[in-house]
Amino acid sequence: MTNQFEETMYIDEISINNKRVSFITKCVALLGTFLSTSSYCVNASELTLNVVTPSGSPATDIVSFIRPTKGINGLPLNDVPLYIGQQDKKFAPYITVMQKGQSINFVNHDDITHHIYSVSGENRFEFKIKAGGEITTQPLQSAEEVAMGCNIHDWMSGYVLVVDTPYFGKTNEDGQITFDLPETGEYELSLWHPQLDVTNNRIKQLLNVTQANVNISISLPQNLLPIPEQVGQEDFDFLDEY
Amino acid sequence: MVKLVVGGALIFFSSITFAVETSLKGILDVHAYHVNNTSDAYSYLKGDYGKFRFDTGTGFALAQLGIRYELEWQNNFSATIVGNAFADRGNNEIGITEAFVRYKGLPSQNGWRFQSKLGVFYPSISLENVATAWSTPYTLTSSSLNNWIGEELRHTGVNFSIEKLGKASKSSHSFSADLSLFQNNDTAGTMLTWHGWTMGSRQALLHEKLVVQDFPARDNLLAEQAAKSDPFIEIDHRWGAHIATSWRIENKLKLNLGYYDNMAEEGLVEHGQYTWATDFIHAGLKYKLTKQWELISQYMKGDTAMKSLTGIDVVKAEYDNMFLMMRYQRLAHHVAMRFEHFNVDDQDETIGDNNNENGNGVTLSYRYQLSKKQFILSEFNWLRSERPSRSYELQPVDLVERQYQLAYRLYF
Repeated sequence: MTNQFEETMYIDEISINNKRVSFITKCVALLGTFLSTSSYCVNASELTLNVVTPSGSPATDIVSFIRPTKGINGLPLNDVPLYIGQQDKKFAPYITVMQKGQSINFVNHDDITHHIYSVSGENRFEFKIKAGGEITTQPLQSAEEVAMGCNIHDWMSGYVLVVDTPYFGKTNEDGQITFDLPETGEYELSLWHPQLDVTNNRIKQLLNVTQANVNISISLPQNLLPIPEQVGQEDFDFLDEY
Repeated sequence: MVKLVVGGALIFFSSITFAVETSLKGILDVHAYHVNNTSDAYSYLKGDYGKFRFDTGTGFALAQLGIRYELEWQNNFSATIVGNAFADRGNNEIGITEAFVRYKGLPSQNGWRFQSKLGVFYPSISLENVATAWSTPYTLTSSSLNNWIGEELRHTGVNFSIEKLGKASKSSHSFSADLSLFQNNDTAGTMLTWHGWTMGSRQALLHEKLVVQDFPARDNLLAEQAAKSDPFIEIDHRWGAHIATSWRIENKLKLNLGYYDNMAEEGLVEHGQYTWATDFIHAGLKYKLTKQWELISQYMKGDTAMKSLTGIDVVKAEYDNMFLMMRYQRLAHHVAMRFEHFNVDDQDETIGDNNNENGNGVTLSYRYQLSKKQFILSEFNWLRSERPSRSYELQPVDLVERQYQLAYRLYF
């Protein structure tokens, strides 16, 4: 996931004396001046997060995001629409994460119509999407959970977490995710999953990132609740609902 | 009433300029069958006491050609019309079975969803008849319980449904409550009483009249009764009510409970059609035991009664029915086994109109899925019933019937 931000984060141009120099150049220039006070130096940091279940096995698909405590002013915005498919009468993927201001691009790969909705919070939408159809929403402007459903197939559900930071992703099969942070400093790390049965389905932790390479391991306070099976009770989706 | 509802709906929607989508779905079901019974009785559809839709012997039938046509607007309104055709050795009919306008709202943030229907539609009772045009995907015949619903019950009126979807609160449990107010069901119970429970795949069409069995009381106390019963007629201009509730646990369990009462005022007759006061409770369970095995069961118990114009209790009967089906599915193979038991308990003093009945049925059905929407089915039905009224036709009271069917079915 971090690929799409890699370039932006490393280049991160700023302006000094009407000349645009790269973030790395600036760092080198400042190094001499502030050698004795290293805390003023903005070093990039690679932060690797490992999330495990209480029994120690990797926790996959855990939405993780990192927000600088000093705010996100000046950080890059992502405006590439987020893809969510409808495949085999399921949201694919079941969980996604995006930055505030992004749109969602829904693509229906099934041979039947879906009636997609989000009816909670500020990020509301609703439309029918025909077999093979594609619909892109307006940019979502509220950082919160979006619970999606289909008004034709009640068993379908999917989640998007809208976050107010460019540093986000989901843990991979090894329960791991890497963030390339442009500078050391204080961050707030959040983990979220719709089946994480704690307040707001998330846990938070403050991080003081001081080194170029940081490894963090977090154990979930409890096992995830089972994800409801995304299948109807009837054998064939083409049957009518009586 | 039907024309009024559909006409009104069309006028309403023609004034709305929302984009409209149309869809056409259907079922084609052709059977080869062989029926034998211990007295060569004809089918109940011909006014005899055979409990299957096909007569004794061997034949081919267009068991069902069902079409469902739907207009859908962007504002959550839709209009649906369902037509069916059946053809078998002189028993050929084509017509409409349902026509309604529906509103299906979006769930609220808390998972509450409101729906409403206006028109002619099936009551929410059957857990078998869930496929296009009220067909059952599990077997070739509906159980006797649901076959009666297909023959004599249809709501002409309005339905309101409120649901609580569990997923909005990340709960596995969803609930619904459903109220229908209906007319045109004043004769419900007539056929159940006079020919008893039957097993098959034949639905009554809205225009159709059903042949009433010939029994001695029709020559005296019931001389006024028409030769054919009109199942969807309004006589007393009173509204009937049906309440149905359901509880679901994800895709594992569905439990229904309901109460139907046509609220008919007894003792009225119009063109040979009497009012029958009919009510019953019903319950249904669909439970997925494993990924392959599912249990489906329904139960019904109720009363029906009709009075002469002079206020005499001519017919009074209690009835009950229960079936239990286990079905197993693996890849393209599906096997269903169904056991059913039914009763009618005659409680009136009318001579020449004995409506007592009890019986048991066994169904074994195998389905093979040829392609996504094409199936081959084979089925064996065994039905044993005791019905004293058969003696009016000089038939044995105790009848065993067997039916073998081989079918090709296409959903389109």
